[in-house]
Amino acid sequence: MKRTTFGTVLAGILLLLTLTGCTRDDSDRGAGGDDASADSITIWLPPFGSDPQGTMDYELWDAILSDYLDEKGVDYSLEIIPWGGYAEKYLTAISSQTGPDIGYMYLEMIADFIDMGALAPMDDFITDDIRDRYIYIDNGVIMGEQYAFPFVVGNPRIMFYNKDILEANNITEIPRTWDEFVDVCKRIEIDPDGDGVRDVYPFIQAWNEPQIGGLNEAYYPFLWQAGGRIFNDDGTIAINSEEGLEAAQFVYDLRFTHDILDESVSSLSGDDADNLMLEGKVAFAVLQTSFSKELDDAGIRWGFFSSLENERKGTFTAVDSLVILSNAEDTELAFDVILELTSPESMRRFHEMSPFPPITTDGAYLDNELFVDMYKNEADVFRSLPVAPGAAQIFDFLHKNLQLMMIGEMTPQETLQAVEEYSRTIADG
Amino acid sequence: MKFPAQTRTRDYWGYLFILPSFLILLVCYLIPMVMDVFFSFTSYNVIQPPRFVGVRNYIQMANNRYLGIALRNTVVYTIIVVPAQTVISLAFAVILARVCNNKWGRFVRSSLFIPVITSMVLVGLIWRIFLATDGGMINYFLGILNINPINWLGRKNTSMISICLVAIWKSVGYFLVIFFAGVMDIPRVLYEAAVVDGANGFQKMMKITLPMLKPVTYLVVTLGTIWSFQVFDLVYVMTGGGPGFATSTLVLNIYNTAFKEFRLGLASAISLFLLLIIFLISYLQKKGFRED
Repeated sequence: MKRTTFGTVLAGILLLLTLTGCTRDDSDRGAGGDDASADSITIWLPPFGSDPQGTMDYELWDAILSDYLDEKGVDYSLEIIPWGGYAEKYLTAISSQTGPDIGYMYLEMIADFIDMGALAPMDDFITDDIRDRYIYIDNGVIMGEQYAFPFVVGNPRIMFYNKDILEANNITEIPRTWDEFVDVCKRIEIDPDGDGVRDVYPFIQAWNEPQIGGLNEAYYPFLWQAGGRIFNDDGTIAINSEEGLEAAQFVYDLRFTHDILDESVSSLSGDDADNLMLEGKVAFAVLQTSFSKELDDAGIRWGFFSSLENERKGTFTAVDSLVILSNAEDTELAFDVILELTSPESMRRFHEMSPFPPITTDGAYLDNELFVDMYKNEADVFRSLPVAPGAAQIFDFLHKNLQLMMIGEMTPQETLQAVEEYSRTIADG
Repeated sequence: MKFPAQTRTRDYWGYLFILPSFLILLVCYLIPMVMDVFFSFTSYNVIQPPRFVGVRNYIQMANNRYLGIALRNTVVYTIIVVPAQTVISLAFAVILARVCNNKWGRFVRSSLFIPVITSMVLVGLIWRIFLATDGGMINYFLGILNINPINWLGRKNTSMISICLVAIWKSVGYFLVIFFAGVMDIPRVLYEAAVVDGANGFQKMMKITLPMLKPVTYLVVTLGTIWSFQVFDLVYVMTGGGPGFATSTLVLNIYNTAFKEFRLGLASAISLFLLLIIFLISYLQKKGFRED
């Protein structure tokens, strides 16, 4: 009898604790809205500085925030969140009520967080003056509302080339089309010293990059160049198309038909590929414009062009934004802080550390001067990823299947077919 | 049957003493397990409240061919890692205990234990560099032997083998210590009697060492199997499950389902499936060792 009672009490405690764990107490979530005012605010930003720990970023933003918030008498907590497992960190923090008031999100992840009700719209705070001054503000209108405030716009993935390698191979004409690119790459001697070991990579791609952003260099540019798109207007996947197949086939042929991409690309992360470029071993690579600084520091003689051309030109550019989390205690204060973080002066200090194009009409241009003409004349070449529910999952799946294609386990057709089927399961929930 | 009051009081003191441990067990294991069962019947993305969906997650799990791939990879990993680490650590333990039980043996034992106390993430990162196709240390040594560079982490088969080798390298030291203690516990008189009976080294190994180490071997095999089915960090750091799904394992699949696809309900169902597998294997191993 005693044992039964003890067991019953235990079971009761278990059930109670379980239900408590499952129940969401909305009173803890902060009042939100305009009425609430907070005396503290939490800001999460990713690292852009050259040190992997994000110390440079922390010092920069800390100085900007302390200047602004100390005056207002508001405490703040600033955290630099590393890129690894970025979306997961937001997810777990938000679920445990330890997320920030202001966060930084890339487009692929925003739709899912809106869908979960984790982001607060900013429409009430956007004035005409803000619309006039902030060049890309409309890019932050997602699902009909201003959920995102574009913050890092640019850093497009362009084609860099190593002038020394091209000159050593007597290549004077820079390729513009896919066919020319293949021809030029085939003319590059991969083992100049003849010791049987590859010394030069005509073209490099990072097919073991753990982040789905790896496709921003490895596949999407070719998809857009083929005239394709990722999603249809109704949000269904559009990648399993003639154009999508042409792009996948082109990348596949670079590896298996033309032998331009070495087998080792399947084991390279983005950092590995960058390092090979910095070692002067790579003739061509699609990289972010901000990488030009590292190439200069490494003493590489480099050139660039925005994109190869097939049906058209096209390459990826980032539209990463600041967002206000829906559990922010004081959304008005959060928006004020966003305006401060994106003010021309703050952006000047940020771009001195990490060069990107300005986001306001009165912002200073601190990116490499060599890119000015490209930004001015080829704006239509640059594309950002579409916002669609489930996009991050589909991109991840596409990434894995393209990896399989690049080790010869799947054909381009099978790859795209599998992605289309998977996207249906995501749509079905 | 009635117990005297004093005995019952003593019982309550017993419960009181185990209460702290029980609370830890309750909070860290039992409640999460109950919650896992609950969530496996819901559609849940961590942020919005869970919505009851019946057995839909289990149906999706059964139809998920990528889970099948992850299960197969996990089984392959276990089949390679568990026997290898068991045999190698046993061999080292016997050699160090019986042949080389001196300061050099202690040095070797300590050296082999260093990987055990090293962070798995660090181990993964360092081995990633060692196994790099271009400029990796392993391929450098192969180059000295006139062997062409191997794309260790970029091929379907070699990527899994690479991970298994690193896992074995990391865990041998741990199991070696367990086996070493077991070997040292075997009474020397048994070996002396065997020598009197004219037994050779192989016979002593088969007739004395291995049978006497059966409980230790059971522990090593069971722990090794359970840990192998839970492999995550090494795979996450070294290959991220790639290339493609070549090294995707059950726990990595659970992680991706939960935190990349935001399908906590399905992830809970898969984790219960994993629990069931581990339980079954442990049960079968226990039964097998008992029957032996």
